[in-house]
Amino acid sequence: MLEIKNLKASIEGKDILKGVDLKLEPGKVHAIMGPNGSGKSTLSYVLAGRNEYEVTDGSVTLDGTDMLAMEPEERAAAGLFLAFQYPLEIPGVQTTTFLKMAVNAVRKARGEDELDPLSFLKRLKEKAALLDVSDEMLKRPLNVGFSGGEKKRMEILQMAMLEPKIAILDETDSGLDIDALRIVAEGVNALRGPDRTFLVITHYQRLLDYIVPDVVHVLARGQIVKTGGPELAKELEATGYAGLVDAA
Amino acid sequence: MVATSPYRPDSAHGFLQQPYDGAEWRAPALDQLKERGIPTPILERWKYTNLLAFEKSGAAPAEKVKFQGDVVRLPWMRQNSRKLIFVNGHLILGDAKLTLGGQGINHRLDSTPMDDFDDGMLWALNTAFCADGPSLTIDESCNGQTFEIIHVAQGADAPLLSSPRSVIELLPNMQATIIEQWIGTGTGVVHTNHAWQIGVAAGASLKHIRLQNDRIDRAMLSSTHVRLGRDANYNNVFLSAGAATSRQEFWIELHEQGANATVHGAQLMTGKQVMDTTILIEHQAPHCTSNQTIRNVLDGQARGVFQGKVHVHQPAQKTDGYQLCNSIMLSPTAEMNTKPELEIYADDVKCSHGTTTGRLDENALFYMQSRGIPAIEARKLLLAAFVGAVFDGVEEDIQTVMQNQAEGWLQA
Repeated sequence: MLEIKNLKASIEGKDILKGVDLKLEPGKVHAIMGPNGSGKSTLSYVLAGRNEYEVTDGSVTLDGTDMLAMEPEERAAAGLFLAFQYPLEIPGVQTTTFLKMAVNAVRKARGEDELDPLSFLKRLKEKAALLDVSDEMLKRPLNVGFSGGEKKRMEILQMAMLEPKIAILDETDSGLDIDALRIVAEGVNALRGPDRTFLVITHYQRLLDYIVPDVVHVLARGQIVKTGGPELAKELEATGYAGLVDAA
Repeated sequence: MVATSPYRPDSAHGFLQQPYDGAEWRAPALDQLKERGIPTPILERWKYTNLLAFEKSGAAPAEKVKFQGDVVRLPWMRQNSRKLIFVNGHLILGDAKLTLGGQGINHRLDSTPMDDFDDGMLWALNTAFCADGPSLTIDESCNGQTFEIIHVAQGADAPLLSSPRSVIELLPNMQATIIEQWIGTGTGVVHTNHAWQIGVAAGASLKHIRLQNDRIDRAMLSSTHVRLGRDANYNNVFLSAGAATSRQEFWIELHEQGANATVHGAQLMTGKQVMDTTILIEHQAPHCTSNQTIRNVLDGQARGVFQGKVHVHQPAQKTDGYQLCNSIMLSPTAEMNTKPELEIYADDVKCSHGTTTGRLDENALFYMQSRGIPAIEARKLLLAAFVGAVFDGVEEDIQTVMQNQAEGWLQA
């Protein structure tokens, strides 16, 4: 279980998170919704360990282990995965090579044996097929020249390969057309399971039609201001964030 | 344009006191040297690279010596290549018929082709003291062959000056690959001042690979002059990691319609190394293309220099000239100087130039870490990819060697 307690964080002296409390239970899909500037992306970056953000208070623990003291790669090894809103292009590094490095680095850190090349490729082919990722894409440098949809599918493929305990999706729906959205959502749904927690961050309710959450939280002005079931997302779609933001 | 002042002609004084064989054909070069001296930072083109240590070293022209190493263990890349080894500018192993020494040293020498480019001093210095070097004519009998030339700078007790001269002429429609490696051995300083004369006739194509791994206490100077005929190709790919001070100049003339020249290379430097790549591309005829892509990685207190100029002459319509220099600084005390220039007199051309100098992309680093790749590995991977991009398109066997050398440097 990922437990976030009174998490406060700032960037360049500006307070963004002002005491976030969340308990993310295994097997559950949590959604975080909120208006622009509420701190959604900051929360995802802070959880993943981006060093530009300063954590000023609070704690984040995964099954009791302090996450905030860890380097980003240690958090990945511990089972945290962040699907980026804007995945980076890595010129000169073939996608397959990158995936193999990542998978084996994480396995090594978890005390598992590295995958032999054949088992790795077999696993990669299976998961790639599910996400409609072609062999040609896997041969290209990571994300270089990929369309928005291809980049997001690649994020989910990385998630599938790394088998995280906690998967954070940061506005994965942004820039996707309906078909791409469906493929991405199917990829995510295929990864749902009793041991895995999802934190789906989104601005729009649309994504939650495809990835149906168990719990919906509203983040506004750096705090969770409301928590409810899937119906809360629909409600927000109808009424907007205005009432909640004012209340915060 | 020949600069007239302010020179310090006496800067060549030390070299002019050195013994030479007295051959008459060297006289014009010696006169030129006497008149102009060794380049100093007073000259615009030499603002960032100071040859004082070279000039003051008292290096004497290197005599032929026995090679101390094992020729078999040199880093040859291809089994079926024609091989030449020069030690301090003298042939040690290989077919003498492929050398200036074996053909009559002076009969192919072009005395002052660098006049317009560099005021000719280093070229003149080379002419004044050169003893030997490869001298190749590519015709039907050797079309498509690879020539591997290894230059060893082998140190001795007293400082030496090695002055190899290389000449290659490709006849129309011929192809050749040159793999040139510069290696340093022994203690004691051997400075190198090398000159290349390259002629590529109509429809011919030359691939020119250069790896520079000289010892860290030396100067490694080279001037490369290329003249391209109609639809001719010159492709240079280099990797420089050695020498205390290295300066490689290219003066490439796209002399006839449809010619193409590319210079892609990487300079990797650390400590107090100075590495300078200076390129002048002359678009003299229409429909020619040129591409300069240079990448630098700087650590320690290294100082890098890139001066690249595309000069489009008035008749050179439909020119396509591209120039880009990217540098990554690994240390706050390193320094990169870039001077991209365009000089265009034709009105229907496509030219672009740019330089970037910065740190490794922190966002990319974080992205890779977030996938579990440790920061140190991620950094190496990003740098290897950054450098490796300039080797794209090189034949695989050579590309692998260059990539491995670059990665070896990054690991250290």
